[in-house]
Amino acid sequence: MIVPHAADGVGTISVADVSLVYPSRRATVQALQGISLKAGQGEFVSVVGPSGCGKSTLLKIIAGLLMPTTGSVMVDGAPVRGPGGNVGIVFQSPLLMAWRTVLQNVLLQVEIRGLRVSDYRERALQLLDLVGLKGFEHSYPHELSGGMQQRVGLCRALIHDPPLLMMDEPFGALDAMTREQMNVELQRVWLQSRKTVLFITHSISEAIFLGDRVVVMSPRPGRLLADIAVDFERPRALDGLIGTSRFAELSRQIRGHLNAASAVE
Amino acid sequence: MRDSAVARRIAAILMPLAFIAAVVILWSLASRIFKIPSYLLPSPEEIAQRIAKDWRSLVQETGYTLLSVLLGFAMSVVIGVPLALMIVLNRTLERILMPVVVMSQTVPKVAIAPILIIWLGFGLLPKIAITFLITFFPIVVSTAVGLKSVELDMLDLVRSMGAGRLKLVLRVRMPHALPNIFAGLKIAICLAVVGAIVGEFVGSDNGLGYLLLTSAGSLDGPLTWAALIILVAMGVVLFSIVGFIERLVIPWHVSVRGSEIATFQH
Repeated sequence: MIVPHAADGVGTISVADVSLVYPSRRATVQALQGISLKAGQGEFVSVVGPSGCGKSTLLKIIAGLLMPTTGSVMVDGAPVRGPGGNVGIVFQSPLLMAWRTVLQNVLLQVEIRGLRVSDYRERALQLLDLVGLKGFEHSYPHELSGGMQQRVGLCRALIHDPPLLMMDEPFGALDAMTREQMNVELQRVWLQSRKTVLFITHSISEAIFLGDRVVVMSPRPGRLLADIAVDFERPRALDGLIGTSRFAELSRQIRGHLNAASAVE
Repeated sequence: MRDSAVARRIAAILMPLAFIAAVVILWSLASRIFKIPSYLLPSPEEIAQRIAKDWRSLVQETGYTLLSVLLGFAMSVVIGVPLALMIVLNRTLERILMPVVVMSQTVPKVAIAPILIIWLGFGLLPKIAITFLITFFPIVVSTAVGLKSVELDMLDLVRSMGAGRLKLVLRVRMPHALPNIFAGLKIAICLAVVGAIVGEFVGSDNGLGYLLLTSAGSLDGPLTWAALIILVAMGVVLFSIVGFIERLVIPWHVSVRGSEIATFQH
């Protein structure tokens, strides 16, 4: 699939009444139920929900890797018919190719998309420097820690300058300290380019810290419980936020929705 | 290379050689002390003398065996690797072809050798056929496992970049499968030597297998053992060559680069 030049599109998402039902061994499973969601240009949307609620499924549907059973998905006003769209994705595990160096892993994105690698080499090096991996360009993944590998994954998702960035619990496998660092890093990188971001997490504080909005999903079948605006100013500092009463208020709201939904189970 | 790395490399080569030297010395002493007759177990000196005397014919027979080893092995790789790919990509083909692959393994080569000679004659062909049959299964199975065992998430990731089937195979499955393929190749190359000998045992007037058979039949101890030793050495050398190529092709794999912790041991 030919991908338009990265300058096209603004990364808006429009999910309308999406459901996903799939057959499994015993019965049919309803993964998602009637999800409607919009993300505007440059918005950072956090999606919070318990494990198994279908957050990753939703991301895959928006990415075109899965087809919804009902409903429609549009990215930049065009219906999503398959993968290969102008989006960058960071998965839960770094998924780096062990046989490629760090630099080659970042450039994989442009190789697969059929773009000229030499055009993007400089940008790849800049991105790696930006995330603090200067000097590791020619290392192999096994020489890097988990956090470093995940940062390579981030560069790989950004190399082709997509207007839309989707991240599926990217910092889930990291220890708490690294995770906090990465949150700050991500905000810094995002502030430079203001892409539209869909950020999936099951950490409420992470969702509030990073997002302009927090979308709350219920346990399976995944429904949208709430869409809460987060109005802290940018750039946000961890210390300045976590202790505040407004932060606690938002956390309570979100946790309330989640508890109510799982109490029904 | 650091001094300790150099020392380790040297030790890795010297230690097996030292071991072999020790065995040879003990063997020589035992032959002398127990006065073991030549037809039972010749001394190392006798074997060495025999190799020196008959080296021209030994080289010729070695060449013959080597040819069937390499050609049968090459055939297995050329046919087996693409076949494994087809099996992995297509369920129907898997159901049709896998039983055939398994049969190639379970059919007893010793039993089928005479049939192959009737079909293919007394020349090199039946030996190549047997070598092929014996190496086919390990190569197909290890390749198939390697191609199949890619994480689904990795495939999703590359698909999300717009990769079609061909790119998924070339950029993801094949490189991922290389360590498995090499494991299969290492097993197969050793089996190939066995296969070539089986073929020669059943019907041949060339090759190391032929030499083994005839010299054992005439109780010519030194020649029997000379052929045997060359055969074993052939297997070891071929295996090492595959291992060497593996180190060049997949230096990144954990099985090739070894454990980092080990570098701190003395």
